[in-house]
Amino acid sequence: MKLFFSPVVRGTSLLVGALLALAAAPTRGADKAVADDAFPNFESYIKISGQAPSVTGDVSSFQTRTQTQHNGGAGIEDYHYAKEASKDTTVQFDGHALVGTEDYLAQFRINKNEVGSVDFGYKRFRTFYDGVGGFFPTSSQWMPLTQRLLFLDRGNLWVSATLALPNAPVFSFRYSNETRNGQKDSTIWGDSDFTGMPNNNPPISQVRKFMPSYINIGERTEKLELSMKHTLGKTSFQVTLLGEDIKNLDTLYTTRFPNEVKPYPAPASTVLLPALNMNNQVIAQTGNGTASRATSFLATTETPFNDKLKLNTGFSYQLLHSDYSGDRSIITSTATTATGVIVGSGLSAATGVVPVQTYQYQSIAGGSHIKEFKFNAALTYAATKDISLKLAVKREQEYVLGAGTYTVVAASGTPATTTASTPRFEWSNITQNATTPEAEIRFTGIKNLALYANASKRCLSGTEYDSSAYNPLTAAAGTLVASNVSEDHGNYTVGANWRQSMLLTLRAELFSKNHQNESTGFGTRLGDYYLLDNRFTGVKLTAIVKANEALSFTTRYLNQAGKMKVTGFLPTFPAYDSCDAKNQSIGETIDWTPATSFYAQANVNLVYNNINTVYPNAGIAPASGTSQAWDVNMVLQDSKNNYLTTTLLLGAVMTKTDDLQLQWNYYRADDGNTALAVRTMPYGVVAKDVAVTVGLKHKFSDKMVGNAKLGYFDSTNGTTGGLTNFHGPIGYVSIEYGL
Amino acid sequence: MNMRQRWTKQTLIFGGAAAWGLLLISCVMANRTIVAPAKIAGATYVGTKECAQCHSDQTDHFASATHARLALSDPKVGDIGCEACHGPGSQHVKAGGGKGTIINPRKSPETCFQCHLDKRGQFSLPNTHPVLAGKIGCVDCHDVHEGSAVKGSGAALESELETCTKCHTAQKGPFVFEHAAMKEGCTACHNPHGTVNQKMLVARDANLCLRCHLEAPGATPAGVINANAINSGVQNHNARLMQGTCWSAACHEAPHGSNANNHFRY
Repeated sequence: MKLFFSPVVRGTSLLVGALLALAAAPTRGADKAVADDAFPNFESYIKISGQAPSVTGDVSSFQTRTQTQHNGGAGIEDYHYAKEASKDTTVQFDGHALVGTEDYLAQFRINKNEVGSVDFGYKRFRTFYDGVGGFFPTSSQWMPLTQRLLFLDRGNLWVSATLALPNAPVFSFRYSNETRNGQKDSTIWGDSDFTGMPNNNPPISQVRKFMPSYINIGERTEKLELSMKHTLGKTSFQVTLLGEDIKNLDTLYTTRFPNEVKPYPAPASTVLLPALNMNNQVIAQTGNGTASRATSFLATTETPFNDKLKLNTGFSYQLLHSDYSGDRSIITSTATTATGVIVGSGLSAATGVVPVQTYQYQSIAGGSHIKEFKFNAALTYAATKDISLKLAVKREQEYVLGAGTYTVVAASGTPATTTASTPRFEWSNITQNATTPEAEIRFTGIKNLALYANASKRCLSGTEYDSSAYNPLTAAAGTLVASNVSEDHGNYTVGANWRQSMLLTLRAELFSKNHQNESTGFGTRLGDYYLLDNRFTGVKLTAIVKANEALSFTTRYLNQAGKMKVTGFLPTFPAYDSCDAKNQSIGETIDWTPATSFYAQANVNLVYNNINTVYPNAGIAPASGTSQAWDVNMVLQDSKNNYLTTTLLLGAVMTKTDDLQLQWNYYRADDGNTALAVRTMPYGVVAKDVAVTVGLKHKFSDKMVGNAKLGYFDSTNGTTGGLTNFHGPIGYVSIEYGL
Repeated sequence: MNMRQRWTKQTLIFGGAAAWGLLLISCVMANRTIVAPAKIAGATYVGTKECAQCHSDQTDHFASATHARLALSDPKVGDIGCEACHGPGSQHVKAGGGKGTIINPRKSPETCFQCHLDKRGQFSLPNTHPVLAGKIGCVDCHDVHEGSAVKGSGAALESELETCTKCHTAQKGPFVFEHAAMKEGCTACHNPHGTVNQKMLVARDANLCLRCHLEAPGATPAGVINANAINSGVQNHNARLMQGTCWSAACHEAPHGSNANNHFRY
C-alpha cells in the first residue's frame, strides 16, 4: 500500500503545485475584450436538435430517471427572436417544440416604452412515471402495471397585458388556463399473498403491499387577475382582484390480490390455486371530482416616510366554494366451487369467476366553504447606513365549513347475491385565528461582515367540530369530535457572512424551529388530548476559498437534528419521544480554471439522513446488553435516506472552432435491508446511476454553431431486484443559427 | 493484499502530461476564453446601480429579500447584489441587454448551485422536480428579488402551502377533513428538492406518519404500535405495518385530506 500510494501522492502533489503556479497567469487575461475567435452570442437565433437513446433494459424507468422519451426526439430546442420595431417598441418571440419529450413553448411579447406591454403564449411539458410498484425480495415477486409508460402533460395558456402610461396608474390583466392531464403512479400500493411467507402464521402476516397503482389525472385551473398599481403622495399601492376556477377529476386505480381467487366453499382436495394464495382479487376505483371557485382581493401599500423609515401593509380576503363528488367502486372476484360448479346467478361459465360488488360507497357529494382574512404590516427602519430593523405582524382569520353525504352499499349472502344501501353523513366546522409577529435585524457596520437575525412566532387558536365514522363502510353513524386547537410555532435564524479576504469567505446560519400543535377535546370528547412538540435545530456553514484566480473551493455543511414528542390522554399517557431525526450533508464544489482555454468543475454531495421513531424501541425490552430492541423488532426500523452524488464537468478549447466538454454524473444510495422482508416491506433504496457524456461544440461560421454529444448511462436498482435496470448509449446533435 | 493497480504513477504522469500538452496546443491555436456554466467570459462587475437603470422592478425591493442579508459591498464598484447571482454585467450593459450577455437563473439552476451545493445533489436524485431537465426552475417556487425566498415564512401574507398548490391543485383542497400536517406545510412530508424516495417523501415507510402519530409505548401489548394518537380507541397496527405503510391500499389513502372520513381512510 505504502509503496504504491506514496509516489502517486508525491507526484500528484508536484503536478498540482505546478499547475497552480501556472494557473494564475493565463486567467488574468479573462477580463480582456472578447477574443476574435469567441463563439458568437446570437441576439436572435434558432436551435434545432435531436437525440436518440438506445436503451437496453427497462425503458419506462429510463424515461422516469432521465425525463426523456426512450424513442428519442427532435425539434426546435430554442427559438428566440428580438427586434426593436421602432425607437421605443420591442418585439420578442420565444419558442421551442420538441417532439418526443413533448416540450412546447410559444411566447410573444411586445413592449412599448411608457405605454405598456402584451404577453401571450402557450407552454406545455411532459413528465414521465414508471408504474413500477414494489418488489418483494423473498419471493422475487414483482408485478408492475401492464402499461408502465406513464406520463403527465402540463400545459399553460396565458395572455397578459399591462398599461403603463406616464404619471398614471399601471393597470395589468392576466388570464391563464393551466391543465394537467395523464397518468402517474401512486405509492398507495395494493396487496399480494405471493410473498413466499408462511400462510396463517399469526402474528406474522403473509400479505405484503407492493402491487402498483396509478392515478388518472384530469385537472384544469383558470385564473383571471386584474390589478392596479399607483402612487399617491409617498404611498405606492397595488390592488388585485383574482378569480380562480379549478376543475379536477382524478381517479385512483388500485388492484389488490391480483391473480388470486378464493375457492368457495373451501375445497377438500382439488384447488384452483394453492391454499397459500387464497384471497379475492379486488379492483378499487376511487374517483374524486372537485370544482372549486375562489375570489380573492389583495391590497398592498408601501410608504417611505423618509430615507430611514418605511411602512408596508397588506390585506387579503378570499372566499372559496368547493363542490366535490366521487365514487369508490370495489369489485371482488369470487371463484367457483372446488368442482367447478358455478354458484349463484349471472355468473360467467367461461371464467368461473363472478364480479360481485361487496363494499363500496356511491355518489359521494358535498361541498366546502372557506372564508379567509389576512392582514399584515411591516415597519422597516434603517437606523444608520449599517443597521436595518424590521418589525412585522400578520393576522389571519379562517372559517371552514364542509359537509357531504354518500351511500354505502354492502353485499350480503354467501356468496353475495343481494345488496343493501345505507346513507352516511359527515361534516366539519373549523374556526381559527392566528397572529404572527416577526422581527429582523441586519448589521453591516463591521468591514466585510454582514450579520442578520430573524425571529417569528405564529400563535393560533381555534375550534374544530367534525363527525365521521372511523370506518364509514361498517359504522352506522359518525362520532362527534369537538376540540380546541392551538399552535405555537417559533422560527429563529441567526447568520453571518464574512469576507475575511479575497481568499476566504465564510457564511454561517444557525436556525431553530420550535413548533407545538395542541388539541384538547371538550363536550362529548372531554378527556381527549394531543400535543405534538417538535424542536429542530441546525446549522448551515459555507466556506468559499479562492486559492487564486484559477482555483476555488466551495464547501457547504448542513447539520439538522430534531426531536418530536407526543402527549396524549393525560395523565395516563404522558409525553413520549416520538421521533429523533438527524440530517447531515456535506457538499464540495471545486472550480479550476488553469487556463482561459480549460475549466474543470467537480461537485460531491454526501448525505446522512436518519429518521427514528419510537417503534423500533417500543415495548420490547432489550434482549441483552448487546442486543437492542431495534435489532429485534423488524416490523419497522429506522428510515435511512443516505446517498452520494458527484458531478464532474470539464471544458476545453480544442481549436479556433471547437470546444470539448466532458461530463460525469454518479449517484448511489445503499439503504436497503432485504432481511426486513421477514416482517415487513423493505422500503430502503438501493440504487446506482452512472452517466458519462462527451460533447463537441463546433463553430461552422459566425452565424452557425453545432453541438454533438455522445453519452452512456448505466442504472442499477436493487430496490426492484435489478428488474428495472437499464443502460445504453445516447446521442445528441444540435445546430444553432443566428438570425 | 492483492490490489488492482488501475492508476499507476506512469499513468498519472503520462496522462497528465498529455492533457497538459493538449491544453498548451489549444492555447496556441485559440485565444478565446471558455468558462464553466454560470459565468460570463470576459465580463467585469459594474455594480447594482447600473442594473437598476433598466431593472428597477427587480431592484426596488431587493433590500427586503433574503439574499440581501448576505450583501457585502465591493470596494471598487459598491453593491454587487445583482451580479452575485447574474454574473458580472459589463457585457450586458455594453450590449444594452440581450441574451447570452448575462446569466439568467430562470433558465438554469447553475447560479443557485454555486452556493446551494446540497440542492444540486438533491435535484440529481431520481425523485425530484424536473429542474435539471429544464422544465421548471428555482424561481418558479422562490422569489429571490423580494421578501423571503422561502415563501410563506414569517409575516408574509401567503402560506408555504400556496407555493406547492398553485400546481398541485388536487392537494389544495379544501377537504371536509383536513390533515393537520398540511398546516405545517407540504415540506413536513415531502422535500421538493428531491429525495431517494418516491414522491419526494422524506421517509418511505411508516416512520413518516409515526413521527407525529404515536400512542405511548407500553399502553398496548409489547411490540404493538398504535398509530391512533388522537382518539382513545386502541387499534393494533402491528399486522398492518407488516403489510405496508399507513397510506397503503384500503388504509389511510387520503393523507392530504379526505371528503369521506376524518381518519383519511378514503
